[in-house]
Amino acid sequence: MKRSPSQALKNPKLILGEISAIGLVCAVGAVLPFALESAHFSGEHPELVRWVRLLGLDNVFASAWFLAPLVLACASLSLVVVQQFRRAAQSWPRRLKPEQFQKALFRAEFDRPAQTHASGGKASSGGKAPSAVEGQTTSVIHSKGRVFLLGSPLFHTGLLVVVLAGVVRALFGADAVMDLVEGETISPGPAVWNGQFPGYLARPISLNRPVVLTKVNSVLYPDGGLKKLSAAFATEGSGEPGNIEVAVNKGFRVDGTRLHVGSDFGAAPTLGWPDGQGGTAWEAVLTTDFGKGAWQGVSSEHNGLRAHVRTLVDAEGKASSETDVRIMKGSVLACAATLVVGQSATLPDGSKVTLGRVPFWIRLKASRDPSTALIYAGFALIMTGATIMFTVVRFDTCVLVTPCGDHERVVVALHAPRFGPLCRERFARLVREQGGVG
Amino acid sequence: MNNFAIEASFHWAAVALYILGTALFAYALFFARPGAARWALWLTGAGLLPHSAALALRYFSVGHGPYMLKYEVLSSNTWIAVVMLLLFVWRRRDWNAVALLVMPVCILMMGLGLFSNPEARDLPPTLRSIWLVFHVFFNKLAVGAFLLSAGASVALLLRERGVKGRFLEKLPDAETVESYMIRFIGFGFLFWSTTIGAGAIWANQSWGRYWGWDPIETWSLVTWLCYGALLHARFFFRLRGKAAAWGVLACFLVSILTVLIFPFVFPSLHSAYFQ
Repeated sequence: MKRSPSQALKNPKLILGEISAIGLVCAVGAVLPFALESAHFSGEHPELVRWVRLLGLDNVFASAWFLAPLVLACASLSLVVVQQFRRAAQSWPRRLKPEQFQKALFRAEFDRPAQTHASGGKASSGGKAPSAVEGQTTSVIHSKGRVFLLGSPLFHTGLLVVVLAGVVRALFGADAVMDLVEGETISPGPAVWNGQFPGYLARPISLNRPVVLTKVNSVLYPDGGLKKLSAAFATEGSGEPGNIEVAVNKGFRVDGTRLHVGSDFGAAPTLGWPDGQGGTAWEAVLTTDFGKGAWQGVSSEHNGLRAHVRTLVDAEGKASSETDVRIMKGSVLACAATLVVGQSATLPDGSKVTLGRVPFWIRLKASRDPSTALIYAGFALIMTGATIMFTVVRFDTCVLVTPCGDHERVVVALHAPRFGPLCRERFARLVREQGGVG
Repeated sequence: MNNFAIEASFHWAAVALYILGTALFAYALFFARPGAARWALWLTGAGLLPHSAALALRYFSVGHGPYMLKYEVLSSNTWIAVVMLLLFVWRRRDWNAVALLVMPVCILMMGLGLFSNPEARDLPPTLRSIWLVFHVFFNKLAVGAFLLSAGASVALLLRERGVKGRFLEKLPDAETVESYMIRFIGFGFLFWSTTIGAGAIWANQSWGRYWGWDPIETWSLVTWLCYGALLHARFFFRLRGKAAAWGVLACFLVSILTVLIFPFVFPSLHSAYFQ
């Protein structure tokens, strides 16, 4: 029999295959890049490495190996979600009939003495024993946990929303990064950022007005580890508040762009190099933490010379007044000096390198993410759906009572579509309530 | 005695009580002494007291929750797993056999933690987030739930293989054991989903992105997909018996690799907490 594409996409075997394929590709993507980075592996298996690169397995999350099963899974998911909602809408108002309990997982029949009170008709709910009228079978059908019907549709809708948010982020989101020194200004425009990573259809990150980094505030643990880090900015122009603070885990939104900082920062001793025309070219040397309060960095090259600088930062995040400067020509030490602000070291050709101020630098990241609301909605749906699926147990109970002279014939049944055996105690309790032996 | 010596004493006292409790569980089940099982439950529960005291002392001396170092992570994982196990066995006394299967894993996990470097480490600022608490707490709950499901699956496999023993006879019928096994996975899956969600929100707060294909992040997704595939196989194809039990054990192995092994193997944002 020929299946339509939508039927094929809803085929459980295909769905299981899609989940397995995505899992397998993710496992490959989590392992292979590290294997390829290993010099030993690359040296031993150059041919294999070539094939891995050729097949795009070194960047598998942007390759067809990942995207094809993901697209297929989303197509299946969309169809399944529609089907599940439709089924839930049909099943929600539906009441089971006594005949449908014939093959219930739990079913017991017993006799009990006739009840003294009697009232006719069918009861529709409640755990009380139904009242019987001579010659007429009465039934009480009770459904519990119908909300269970919504669990799977909500969960799977959430998955779709999360994937959709990922697509929106990949297309319209943007990230940028820059290393900024105290006193520097982020000018409007995208070119000022060191790195721009816009989505496929997104414009690069750009602020609408100048923003100045006024101060980097850091607090260190006694062993030199970072305890707190924040950066104070001043915005120029009208509208927004003039001063803003961006801290680790506490970003700030400016002109639709979120600014945030990680843990990358340090002292940035500023060196003045002779520019060859009688002037001075200033360069901030970005230092990084080398442990025990020591921060080191290397300048760019000036006439074949590089400066290796080392400064100390105390627990309050203040740089020492002295900075060690070692000027290297290749691997040869050209000169070394410990400088305070304003002092100079004399180079072999007689010119001087001067230590200017010692500000701090920070790595500032910026992101623009139009998918935020979607991703939160997706997470909320997934969590709601999963909570319903695994904490709500749906079951239906049926109690049939048929008067037979001075006693009554009672049938008690419990039907649970999932986790049936877990309802054993509940069924036993129901039987006891109806006068049977649980 | 300094704080660490007291903390270590509490930890080892907990280990001793857990071992005694497990031995009593074994005695109760192998020699059909139901009274001993009650004592085993109390003794294991008593182990939680020094264990809790050790974790509390650790919290007050380092100033943060048990997020850093193998020492803290494994000890707190064990604490959660034992609490979950005891709550379950307390409600379902016929499941004592699972305690006998799960407790040795807990003791091993605790031992591994106690023999690792206990030197306190300061919390970096990126880890100061309420989302970290959710991320870590739900991860521990997930590991506990998966451990219980693995215990149930081993019991099921032993029974399916025809292994006779008084301790297996006490367990409910195979269908009920299977239902609980899958239900534990359901809870674990829910907790694991929360772990991933909280981690993603926290990552967005710290690094401006929800997902970065960090190796452990990716392996957590692989684990989630493995359990997802297992649940689909169960509900679509009525995967039962041995096949279901082996599937549970395979998924549990992947989760343990993700949580305890891969942070050592791959350079990751998650490596720091465990080294």
